[in-house]
Amino acid sequence: MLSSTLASATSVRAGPGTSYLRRSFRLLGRIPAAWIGVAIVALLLLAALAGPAVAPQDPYHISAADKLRPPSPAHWFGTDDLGRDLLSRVLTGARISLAVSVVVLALAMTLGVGLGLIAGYWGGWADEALMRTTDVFLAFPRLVLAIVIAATLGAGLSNTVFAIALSWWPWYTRLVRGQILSLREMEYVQAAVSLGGGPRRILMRHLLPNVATTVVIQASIDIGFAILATASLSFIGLGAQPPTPEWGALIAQARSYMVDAWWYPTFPGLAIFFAVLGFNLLGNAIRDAFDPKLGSK
Amino acid sequence: MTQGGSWQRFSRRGFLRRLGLGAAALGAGATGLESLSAGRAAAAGAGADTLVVGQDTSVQTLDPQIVYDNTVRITRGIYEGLVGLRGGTAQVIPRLATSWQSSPDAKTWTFKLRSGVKFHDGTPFGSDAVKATVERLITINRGMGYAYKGTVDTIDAPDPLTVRFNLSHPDAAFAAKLAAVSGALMVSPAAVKAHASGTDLAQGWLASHEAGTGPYMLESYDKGAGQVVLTQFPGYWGGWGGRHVKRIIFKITPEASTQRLMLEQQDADVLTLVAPDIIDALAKESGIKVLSFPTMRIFYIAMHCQREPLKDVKIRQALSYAFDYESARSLIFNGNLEALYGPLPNADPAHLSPADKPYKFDMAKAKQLLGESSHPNGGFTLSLFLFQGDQTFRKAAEILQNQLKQLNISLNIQEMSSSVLLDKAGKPDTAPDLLPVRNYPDYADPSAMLDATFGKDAWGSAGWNFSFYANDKVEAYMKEANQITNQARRMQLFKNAQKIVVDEAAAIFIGTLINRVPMRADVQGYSYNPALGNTFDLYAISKS
Amino acid sequence: MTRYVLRRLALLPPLLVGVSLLLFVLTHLVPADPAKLIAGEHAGPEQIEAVRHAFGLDRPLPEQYLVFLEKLGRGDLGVSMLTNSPVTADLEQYFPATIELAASAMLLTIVLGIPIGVVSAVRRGGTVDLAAQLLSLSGLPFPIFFFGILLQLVFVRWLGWFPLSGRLAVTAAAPPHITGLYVVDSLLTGRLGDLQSSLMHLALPSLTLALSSLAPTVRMTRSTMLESLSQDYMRTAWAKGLASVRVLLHHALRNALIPVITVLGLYTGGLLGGVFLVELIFTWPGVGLYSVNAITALDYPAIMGTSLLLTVVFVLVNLGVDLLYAVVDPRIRY
Repeated sequence: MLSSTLASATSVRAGPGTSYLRRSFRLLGRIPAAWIGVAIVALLLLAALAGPAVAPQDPYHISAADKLRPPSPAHWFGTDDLGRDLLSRVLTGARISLAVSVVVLALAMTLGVGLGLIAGYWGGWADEALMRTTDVFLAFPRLVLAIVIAATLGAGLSNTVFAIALSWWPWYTRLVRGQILSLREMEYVQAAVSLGGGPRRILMRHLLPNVATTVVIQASIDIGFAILATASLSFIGLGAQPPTPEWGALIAQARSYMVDAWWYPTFPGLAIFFAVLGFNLLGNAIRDAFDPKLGSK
Repeated sequence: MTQGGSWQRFSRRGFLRRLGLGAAALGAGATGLESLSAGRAAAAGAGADTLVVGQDTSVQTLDPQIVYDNTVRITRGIYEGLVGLRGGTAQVIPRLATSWQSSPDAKTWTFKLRSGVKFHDGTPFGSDAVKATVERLITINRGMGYAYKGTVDTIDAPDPLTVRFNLSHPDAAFAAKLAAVSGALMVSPAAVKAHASGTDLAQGWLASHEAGTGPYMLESYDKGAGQVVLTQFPGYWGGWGGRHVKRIIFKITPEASTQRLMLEQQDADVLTLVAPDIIDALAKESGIKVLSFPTMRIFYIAMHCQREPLKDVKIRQALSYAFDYESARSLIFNGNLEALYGPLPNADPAHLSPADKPYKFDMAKAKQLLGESSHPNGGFTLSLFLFQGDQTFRKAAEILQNQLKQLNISLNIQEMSSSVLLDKAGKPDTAPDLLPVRNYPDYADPSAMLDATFGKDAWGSAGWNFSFYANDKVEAYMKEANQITNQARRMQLFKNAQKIVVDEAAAIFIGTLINRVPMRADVQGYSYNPALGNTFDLYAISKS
Repeated sequence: MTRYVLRRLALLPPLLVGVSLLLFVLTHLVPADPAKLIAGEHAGPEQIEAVRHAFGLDRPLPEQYLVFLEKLGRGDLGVSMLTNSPVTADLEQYFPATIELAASAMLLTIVLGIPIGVVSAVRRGGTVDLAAQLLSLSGLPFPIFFFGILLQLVFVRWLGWFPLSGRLAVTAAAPPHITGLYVVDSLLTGRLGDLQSSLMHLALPSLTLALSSLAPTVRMTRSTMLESLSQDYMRTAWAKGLASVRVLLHHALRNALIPVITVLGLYTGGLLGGVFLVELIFTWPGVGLYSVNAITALDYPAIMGTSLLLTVVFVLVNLGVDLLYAVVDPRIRY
C-alpha cells in the first residue's frame, strides 16, 4: 500500500525542464487517467447503490435449463454453473466489494491512526512497544498474514474484513507516527504545548487535522487494494460464502469450468480489474491534487 | 537528426535483436514442445506396460493401517488382506486366507492361511504377520481401527498357517470387515520391527516405504514431484500369467482440469476425477472411453433432529418435499445420479423401493406440511455447513436455498475447513441444522452404513450421524439384526429400520453417486467394487 | 558493513519470536479440532483423544507454545499432522519449487521490466512506451489469480503452447537432486529434455507471479531514466557524441537502478504472498500449495512452519536489498 504510493508517485512526475514531457503527461496521462478513474468509480458506486434495481435478473435465481450459457442478448455475460445470470451477479458483487473494502479501511485506519497518534505523541515505552509490534506484523509478506488470520477465523466475509484490517493497520500506524514526530517539532505545536494545552486538545486540534489529509489520501489509494485482497482471499476459499456473488468467489467457482466456459471467470475478473484500476487512478489524482509534495518525494 | 538516428539505431538494433532472440526462443520452445509431445506420445504408445493414473488425493502416508482416504487406491496394490470381494459383489472370497469358519455364536473366527506367500522384503507370510498386523491396527487405532478395537479380544496363532480371532461380542460381519478397503492389510512384522522408532510401530518408516505381499512393490515415492511409482513384485503368489501392466505411476493431480488435460494429451491412462461436466466433455473425445459403475456412495443432507425448528418432523418432511431433486440431478451431476430411496443405496441387498420414499419435489405439499407445523409461516433461518471447496455440496446447498426462499425460510450457508467443520458438526450444540454429506459403507454389510449414519450411538463425532437422529424402534431392529445370522430376516429388519428413518425424514435423500471413470480407450480390465471405496483392481488392469 | 549486517541479523531472532508468538496466538484462537480430521471419518472419541495426545494438543496453550519455541531453537518445527512427517522435511521438499518460481519471477521482472522501462523512456511516446504505460497502469490492479487463469485459457487451452500445471512432464522423473531447482539440476546433469520441460512448466507461473512486480519496475525504470536523461551531464555526453548505448548503460541506467532495487525489494512481499495464489492455480508443488492444504486442515505445525519460513525469507530479502544499494551506489555506506 505505501509501496504503491511510492511507485505511482514517480509515474505521474514529469521530468523537470522538459515542457514537452510535462505537456504530454498532462494530455496523455494525468487528466484522462484521473477522469477515467472518476468515471469507473462513479459507475461502481452506481452499481453498488442501484445494483439490484438495475440487475436484469435475479442474481440468485437458479435455472437448470440455462446452465453455462455463453454471452447472448438474453445474458450479456452468459450464465454460471447453476444457470444464474452472470451480469446480474457481477453487478450485485459491486456492492459487496465496495462495502467490504470501505469497512476494511475504516477498521485499519481507526486502529492504525489511533495507535500511531499514541506512539508518535507520547513516545517512550508505548512508542517502543507499538513499533516492535508493527515490526512483527510487517515482517509478514502482506497477503500471508491475512491468509493465516482468515484461515484461523474461518471463511466468511466479516472474518475476511477483520483479517485484512488486522494485517493492514501497522502501515497506518507507521505513517501517522512519522507525521506526528515531525509535526511535534513544529513551532505552533510547541507553542500550544508551552501554552499549557492538554494532550487531548493538542492531538485533536493540531495534530489530527494535519495527519488526516495524508491518511485520507493513502486510504483513497488503498481502497482498490482492499478490493483486490478481499477477492484474493475469496479465491482461496476464505472469503464470501455461497451464494454471495463476491467477485473473487465467482472466479474460484468458475475455475472448474474455465476450459469450456471462458466467460465465467472472465467477467468477474474484469470487474475486479476495473474497480481496482478506477480507485488507483482516482487515488493518485487525489494525492496529486492535495499533496503535490507527496507526489515528488 | 544524428541524435535521433543514434537513438533509433540503439533501439532498433538492440531491441529488434532482443525481440528476434525472444522470437527464436519462443520458436525453439514451440518446436521443443512438439518434439516433447512427440516424445510423450511415443512414450505413451510404447508404454503398453506402464499405466499412469491421475490421482486426486495427495499421499499423507502409505502406512496400510492408517491410510483411509483415496490413497487406498495405491496401498491396495501393495498390500493384501486375508479375504477379498468377488468382482463387483459383496461376496467374500479367499485372498491370503484360503478358508475360514466362524463358531455358531459368531464369536470365534478361524482362518487357514495360504502357504508360500512372501512379503516384498523376502520374509514369509504367516499367522504371526496376521496377529502383528491386526494388533498394530488396534494399537495405532486410526482409520478402520474402530472396527476392531473393542471387538477383537485376543488373536491366537496355533500354527504358522492358522490364525484365530476371539471376539468379545458376536459379529456376523467380521469377515466383511476383513475384506474392507483398508485396515487389516498385512504388513511384514520383520520390517515393522526393523524400522520401528521408539513406540511408533514403524509408522514413520511405513509412511514412505512398504512391506506388503501385494502384486506391486513401491518403486519410488517422490513427494516433491507428487508421484508414486509401483512396479511388479516378481515373487507375487498369484503369478504374472495373463495380462498385467509392469509399472503403475500415480501422478498426484487434485485439479480436475489438469487431470482432463493429462488424459487428452495421453499423459494419463486412467483418471480419478468426479467433475461431471469434465467427464461429459471427455466422453465425446476420440481415444477416450468413460465407464460407469453403480456405487454405494449415497448423497444426502442430514437434518438436525434434536434442535428447533427441525426437531419438528413436519418441517423436516416439508424440506424433503421442497428439494428440487430433478434440478439437482441435472445441475450437479448432469443427470448421472442414481435414485436413493432411503439410507441404503440400491447396490445394498437391504435397500428400500420407490414406494417407501414418498418425497418428491412438490412445493404445494411442502407448503401444506409447513402450514401444519410449529412454524406455519416459516420466518426462520437454518444453518448449513459446507466442506470448503466442495462444488457438489455447494450447488446442492444453493439449490435448496433457492427453494426455501419460497417457504419464507432462509438458509445461512457457511463454508469451513474440514477440521473445523467436523469439530463443530460433531457436537449437537454446535452442529448446523443441515449438513450435506456423502457416505459409503466401510464394509459390505447393511449394518456398516445404517449404524453409523442413523444409530443413536453414532451421533456426530462418535460416528457419522449428523442428523443426531435417535429412535428406539430403529435401535431395536438394528440390534436384533446384528445378533442373528439368518440373512433374509436380517434384511427385513434393516428395511423396517430404514422405513422409520425415511418416514421421519432424518435427512433429505438426494441420490446415489455413479462412478464414471474416464480412461484411454486401450485400457482393459478396469474392475471396480462399490464396497471398496473409490479403488480399482490394479492387478486386473492392463493395456492393449 | 559487516557490523551492519551482523546488527541486522541479530535483530532477526527476537523478531522471529514475535512472529511465532503472533502466529501461535492466531492459530489457536479458534476452537477447531484437527485431531478429529486426522483420526479419520469414523474415529471414536478415544481415537481422537489418542491423536490429540500424540500431537501434544491436550496440554495447556502456554505450555504448547514453550514446547514449540524450544523445539524451534533446535530447528525442529514439529510434525505435520497432515503428512505425518517433520515439517522441516516437508519444507525441504517443497521449498525448492517455491524458490525456483519466485526467483524466476524476479528474474523475469528484471530482464523484462528494466529493458522495457529503458526503451519506453528513450523512445517516449512510441509504441513500446504506450504498451509500457499500459502495462504499468494495469499490472498492479490486475488480480494475479485472474491473470493466471487467462494465461491458462489462452496459452494452454487455445494455443496449446505450454503445459497446464506442475513442474515437469508427467512421465518424466525429476532430475537428480542437487539444488532441488529442476532447471538448475537438469542443467548441471546435462539432462536437456528435463531442462526444456521444466522451463516450459515454469514459464506461465513465473510470468503470472511477475505481473505485480513487473508493472512498478517498468514504471520506476522509465521515470528515473527520463530524469537521468534530462540531466546536464547526459546532455553533455550526448553532445560530445559518446556512443549512446554506453552512455545509457553507464550513466543513466546506473542511476536508475537504485530506485528500481527499492521497488524490487518492496514487491518481494507481494511476490511471496502471490506464491499462494499462483501455486494454487498452477498446482505448483511448493510451500504455497503445501500451506493452502495445511490451512484447509488447520494443520498448525505446517501453517506455522510455512509462515515462519516465508517471513524469514522476506526479512532476509529486505536485508539483501539494503546491501545491494551499497553495491550499486558506492556513496552509500553502512
